[in-house]
Amino acid sequence: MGYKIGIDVGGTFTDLVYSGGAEPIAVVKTPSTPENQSLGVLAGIAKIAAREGITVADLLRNTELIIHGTTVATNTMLEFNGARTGLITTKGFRDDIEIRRGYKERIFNPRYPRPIPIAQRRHRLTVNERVDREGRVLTPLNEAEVVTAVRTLKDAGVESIGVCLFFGFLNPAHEKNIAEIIKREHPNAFISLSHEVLPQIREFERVSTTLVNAYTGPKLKRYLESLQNELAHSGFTSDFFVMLSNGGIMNASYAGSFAVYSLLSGPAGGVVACAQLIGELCGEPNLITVDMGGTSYDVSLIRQGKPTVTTNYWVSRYRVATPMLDIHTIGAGGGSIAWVDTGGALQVGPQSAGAVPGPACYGRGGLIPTVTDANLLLGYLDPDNFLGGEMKLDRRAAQEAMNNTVARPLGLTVTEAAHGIFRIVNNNMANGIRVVSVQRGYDPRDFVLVAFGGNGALHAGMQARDLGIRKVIVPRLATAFSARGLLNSNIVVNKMRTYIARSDDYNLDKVNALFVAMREELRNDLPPHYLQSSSFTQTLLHNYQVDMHYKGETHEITVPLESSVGKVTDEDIHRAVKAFHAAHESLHTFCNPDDPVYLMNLRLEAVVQTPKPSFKKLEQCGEDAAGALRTKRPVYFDNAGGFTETPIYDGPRIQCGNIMRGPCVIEEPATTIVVYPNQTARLTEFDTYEIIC
Amino acid sequence: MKDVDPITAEVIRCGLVTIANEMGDTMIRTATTPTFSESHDFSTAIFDGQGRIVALADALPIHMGASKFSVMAALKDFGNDLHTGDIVVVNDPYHGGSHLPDWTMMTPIFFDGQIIFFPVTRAHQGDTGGAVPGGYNPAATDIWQEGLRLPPIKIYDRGKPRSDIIKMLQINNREPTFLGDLKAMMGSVRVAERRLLEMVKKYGAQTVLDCMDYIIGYTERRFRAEISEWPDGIYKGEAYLEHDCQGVQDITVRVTVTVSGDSLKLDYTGSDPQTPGFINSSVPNSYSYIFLTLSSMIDDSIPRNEGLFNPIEILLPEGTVVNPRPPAPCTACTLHAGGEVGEALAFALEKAIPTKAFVQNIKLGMPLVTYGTNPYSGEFYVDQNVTMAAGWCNAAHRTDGWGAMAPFFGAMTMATGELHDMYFPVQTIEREYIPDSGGPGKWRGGCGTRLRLKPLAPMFLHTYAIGTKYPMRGFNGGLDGSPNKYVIREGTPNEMRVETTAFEEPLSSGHIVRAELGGGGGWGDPLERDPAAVLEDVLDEYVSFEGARRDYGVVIDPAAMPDMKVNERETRALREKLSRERAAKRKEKASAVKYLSPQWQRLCQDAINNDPEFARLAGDLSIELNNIIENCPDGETRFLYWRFENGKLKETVVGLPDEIGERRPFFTTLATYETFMRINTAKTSVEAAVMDGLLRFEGDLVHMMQYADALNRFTEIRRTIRTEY
Repeated sequence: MGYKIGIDVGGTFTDLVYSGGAEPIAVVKTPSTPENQSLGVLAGIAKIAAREGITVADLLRNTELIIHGTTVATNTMLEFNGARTGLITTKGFRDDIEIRRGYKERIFNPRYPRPIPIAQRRHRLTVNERVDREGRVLTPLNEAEVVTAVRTLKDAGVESIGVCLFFGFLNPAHEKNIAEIIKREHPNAFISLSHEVLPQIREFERVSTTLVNAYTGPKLKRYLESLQNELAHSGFTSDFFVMLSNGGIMNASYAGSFAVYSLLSGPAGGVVACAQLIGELCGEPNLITVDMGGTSYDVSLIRQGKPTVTTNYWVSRYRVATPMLDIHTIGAGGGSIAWVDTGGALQVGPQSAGAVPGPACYGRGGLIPTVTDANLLLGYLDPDNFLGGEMKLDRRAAQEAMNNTVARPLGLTVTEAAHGIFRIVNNNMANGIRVVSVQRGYDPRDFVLVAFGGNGALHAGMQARDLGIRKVIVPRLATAFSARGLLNSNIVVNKMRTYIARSDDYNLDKVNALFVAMREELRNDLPPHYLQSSSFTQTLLHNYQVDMHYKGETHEITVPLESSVGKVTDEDIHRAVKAFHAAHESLHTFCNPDDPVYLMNLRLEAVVQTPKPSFKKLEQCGEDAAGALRTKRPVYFDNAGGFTETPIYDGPRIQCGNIMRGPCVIEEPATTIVVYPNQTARLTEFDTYEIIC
Repeated sequence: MKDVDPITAEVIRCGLVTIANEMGDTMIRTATTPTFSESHDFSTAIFDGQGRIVALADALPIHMGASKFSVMAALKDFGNDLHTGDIVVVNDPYHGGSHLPDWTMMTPIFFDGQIIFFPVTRAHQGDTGGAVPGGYNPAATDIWQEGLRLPPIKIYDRGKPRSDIIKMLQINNREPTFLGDLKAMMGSVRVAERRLLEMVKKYGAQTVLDCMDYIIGYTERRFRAEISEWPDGIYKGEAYLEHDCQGVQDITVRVTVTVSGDSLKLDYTGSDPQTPGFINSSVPNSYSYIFLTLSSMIDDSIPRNEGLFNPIEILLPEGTVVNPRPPAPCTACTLHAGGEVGEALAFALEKAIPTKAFVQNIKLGMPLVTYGTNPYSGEFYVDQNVTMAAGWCNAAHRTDGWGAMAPFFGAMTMATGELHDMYFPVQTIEREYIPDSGGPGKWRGGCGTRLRLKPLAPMFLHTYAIGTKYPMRGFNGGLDGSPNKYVIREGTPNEMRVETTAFEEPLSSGHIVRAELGGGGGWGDPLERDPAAVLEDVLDEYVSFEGARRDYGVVIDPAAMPDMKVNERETRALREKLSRERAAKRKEKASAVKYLSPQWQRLCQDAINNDPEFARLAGDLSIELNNIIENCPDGETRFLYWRFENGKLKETVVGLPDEIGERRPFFTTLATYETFMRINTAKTSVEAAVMDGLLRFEGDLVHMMQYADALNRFTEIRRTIRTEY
């Protein structure tokens, strides 16, 4: 069996986790290279080869699968450096992307600027054509106008063109015609067609998603192609896959054509890791996952083993309505800066000091205190053992920054100021968890909190305490957990079609025809050799789903449309309606079982499993952790009377079954776990710390 | 104040806002009427036991001041008779509501026998009983014609539904989804109850109460700090509404703002009397617009709560459009005259804080409501036509107007054309920005949109139009946005321009409805706009090539689109010229055209002699007329003499009675100064004044009647002259 490599590019580090080598699972870290992420990736590959004692060519020749989590698409949206993008749309609908259904983010702030345009009005052109609500052509496409429009865009230097026609999802013929004309007139242009990207009713959501795809596509496509070429050049001949926002993987050419599907490519791996390695392996089906790095805090919820998926997502103020893992991000990380507002209230984040200058204690010229500075001053972090000792922290610089910016202005001591920051950021994080749980109708006390990323495990015990969560799990591999998840991910492709009908008045033939069409499309997306290759388990699973709502409701609930005979029957629909009533009751506290239900969208999800790296349970070694105790130092705990002489454990020396009673601190090479008073940690046979709160 | 840990207070504040947002999410997910679930026309907030607002969700801020009155009314009406598990509902604007369609629901939350919280959900109902579906009845002349009036009543009593009351509400409502919406509202206050009790359990009631005092004090402190920086002084502002659907025109809201130290006094004395039509702004609604407007002028990060109310004294004189006496109808007031309450305030403060003052108003009377039989279902339907469109979004300091509408509507999401066309027998055929519709300014007003709808079945249309004469005004030298324009049955022999109202107008299949929504006003002198920004606007066709020249004085060398360049030399010259011309025009406009002054007389002569319509109606009219104006502001009586010759106004004279000299007018009209003012400002008509005995004639009335058309036109023309009384 060959190598399988998961590569996750983060803001600071590129993590590579691989199987098939000397150890079952191994981790390699290299600094990220934001200007060209592939440099860091190739450096990481070289590091693996060195570690395995073979050449890069040998490594790659023997690698059967590379799975990549990349932030290229997300960063393109965050930095607004995507392609010069144009739009061709139905006459009369040039401005949907700007009118944005009236939505404005700041209702009391008239000076809040408009979103940065990703397709300027001058590059949004309209053509005569129209289909009606049944998809029948009312006005044929004026092809001469299309030719003129494409030439105009080409002359204006437009490199990427979105096509989104009114009711275009009902009859894609005109969009397809336009694509043909673009290919002829402007062969180098990237093309994003609304009926392919999001074949769904509501023109604003569709045009926005289509344009985000057009804007980010060229860059991601180029990046993936060049990385693939580099790898091929170095001897890689096998499949190269990319993590998508839905938690599944697809090949690089698909990912490049549908860049908008990979906006959460980075954090999705962590959620997959939680679902599989904590959920399935440890038998914990209900999880809240938190990934805290330097700048952001990503929260998601896994229910009954399944990550929750949303279609209600905005990125950099643009609407993206494709199915994505419901990952809620807030600006809270180790680098989040503390500041005092004009009314004298202490605030933390969302701005981050980033890697440069970074927290004051990094000694790189940062003068503003951050969460990491507060954690250092409170004794949670060891100045001499940060990142496994690779970096020394400057306590005096942290103290000075804390004093100047927070303590003195508020009349607090440095410790009080640091603890204030600690409390505020903890509270922000707890509210972030509330968003994915209580605000979606789930009680966080029914969930286990999984904390990973460089900083997650330091704070998680506080969120657990705040929200009444009884158990926290910290994987030992916390800092590379997203990369680890890549190795366990499956191919997942989502298809959908809008079909509006009442549950007591629908056309079963039409429903089945739409599913057949979706299966056709899937066959094109999934080359047959995937199903035969040893990289995959050779079975294709189809999940049928339907979005439904009650009359008048405009928010749908997706329920399974289980079909036992490969074809949807009346009983299947009937069961789905029942499932909808039940889901409505559990989500919204009531249902109306006698009211008609509307079908809105049909969905088909195809899954191809990958073989998972095997896992060998650790052997139990008894409770006593004394062998791993390294030292003691004063650490601040508010409910233990302030600074308390606290045991510090050396993580790598802790053995399975060891119990560490709080208050204590466990230092793993790139993450610190704080066990708060009245909490108890134990290393489990799954190589995770389990903290009972 | 108690010794409060500011960090705990911040934690509790965020927690309360999170709970208010969760109430809102419950509404969005569960409401069954699109106005809630799709458009989010509702708001959620948390009040304390004294009726002070402590946390507000980011929803619809035109509810923010008004909900307080609902809580106060419930506390007052029920006193000690409030219990755990009670749910109270209210809608009557004279008993704690703002207008009948907005229903407010709340539940008291007790701790140790004291009410410590009142979570409140206020939502616009699809129907509220009354004479017409949907609640907007422009024909209403009293509140009973508008719908079912509810003072605070309990629909849940100690946790038990009062099914008799709920049934009564249900049978008085046309909306089949009414019960679903009611459940959604109750669900949202219930969610809050659960969460708030958890919070109290965790921190202790006393800590939470102390923290609420602290949070309110914090907001007040920051608000006062901002006001202290505003220059002390007395500032006046006005805003105008075209009509009230009952014939009253040019309704004016006036405010005098006194900024003094760290507090404000807002006196709306001088606002027009309440009108028979449904535009009267109830006190809670006027408060809402005041707080919405002030909230938009201060730092965005100041928490919105009771602390905003404390530094302000508000005077709303009874019997006026900003504080009507019952039973004046009020349904339209949440848009107008509420909008004018805020607009007048913004224009008063324009002089004090020009970079901060901002109008949060939309020039929409009511949407183009259509109804009929839906051929897709065979059922009766009402289509509120709240699909996405843009209009009336003013520029602000350093910010061009953008997106759809004023920010305060930003939490309401408009329906999409596709879903709309899927459900209703209509085709949305156009919805695009109109070039040059945004008011020119150093920062440009947002563009309005042209919306065209094609009915696919016979239907009726119902609307009332405003913003046709008073578009969104520019600020600090910025120019006005374009006015609204509504045309129905476009291009047919029966084409109709909707000037004021259209009721039960029949539309056949294919009869196009065109709405041109006006643009926002500009901010600052357009001649100061960066020419590069004007060029960008021309490239994007927000501004036309011609508009750049005309409005901004920017000359662009003609070339293919991407190669256009600003001609700097010609731009400089043109801007200098325009600047001179505009200064001269402003001077002329600013010169006070006092009623009866020589300038006023000259303007009357110019206007009448240049009016082709008057020329047509007057023919070779030659006549001498006189007005006797009694009780002028100085107590005197004056005459105003008009001499027409061959259809032209040749001479006007104003004087004291004995100065009439040898002039022998053929016909004399006698009335007080006040009555003449009301006629000239369209507050009343000549006919009404005669009927009321306020206007008398001397002379041959029968002979006069043959000139009636010309003389009516004469009156209309006088009304167009901006006159100071």
